[in-house]
Amino acid sequence: MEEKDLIKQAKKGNQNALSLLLQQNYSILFHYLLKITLNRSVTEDLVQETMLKCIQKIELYEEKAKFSSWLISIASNLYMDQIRKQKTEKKYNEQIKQARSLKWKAAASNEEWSELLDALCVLNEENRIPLILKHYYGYTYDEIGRMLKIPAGTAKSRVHNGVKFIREELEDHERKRGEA
Amino acid sequence: MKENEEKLKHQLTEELSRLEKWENPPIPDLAFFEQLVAEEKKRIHQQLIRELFYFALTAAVILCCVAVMLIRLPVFFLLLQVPILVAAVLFLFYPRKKEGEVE
Repeated sequence: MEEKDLIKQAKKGNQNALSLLLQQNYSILFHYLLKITLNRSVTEDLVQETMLKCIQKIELYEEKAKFSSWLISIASNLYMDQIRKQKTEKKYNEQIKQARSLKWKAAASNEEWSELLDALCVLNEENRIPLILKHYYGYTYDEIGRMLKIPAGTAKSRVHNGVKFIREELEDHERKRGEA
Repeated sequence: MKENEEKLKHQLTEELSRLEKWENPPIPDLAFFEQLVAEEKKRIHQQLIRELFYFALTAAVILCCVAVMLIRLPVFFLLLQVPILVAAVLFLFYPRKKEGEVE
């Protein structure tokens, strides 16, 4: 059965169709969250939360965008809500520390952790999410704006700020390497 | 400048693709998703029943109070109609902000 038919069935309340849709999009959702959180355990929690939200709201899905884009939109907003909550509870620094767990894991398996990934870790989420959506997934500014519930102009300026920040971080790394 | 941006974009794509290779968890089988959907649907249904029960209970209490007032204190009942009318007019005609509208 095609995705379109599965969506129609799922919206009518067919639980098997919805289960199949979630299974087909699990990998996309997991990898998207991994890229924006840079943290495996946060990713796993958010995948679960996103799927639950999708089950609750499936009737409201308008089929204007791809199903995976809708899931990405839900996941992004859940992540931003979590960050806002952590900032008010002052647990934000703990999460930044946890983000380095992927780096340690990469080192343990002899994988190279690039300076660009380091820069992404430091970049704030408000800029990191639009940057990844634009330059990795290829969404337009309008689509990013709709997904993150911000004006397209704001999405554009956040991507611009993200690129600028990463470029500065990379230059900084290069300068330090030159000095050493 | 444009070349730099393209280079950065390419680098970003490459590095993030590598992340996918490091962390590639197995996709759970369909039974896992079926159980998740069934449990969540059941929870939503139970929550709906609970909310409907509380709504009906609250409505019954309010109706009882109004009925008692009508029988025992008809003057107060008539006075009560004034704020109710004002609230209804405000609710119907006061311009409300649409969902998602920015001030």
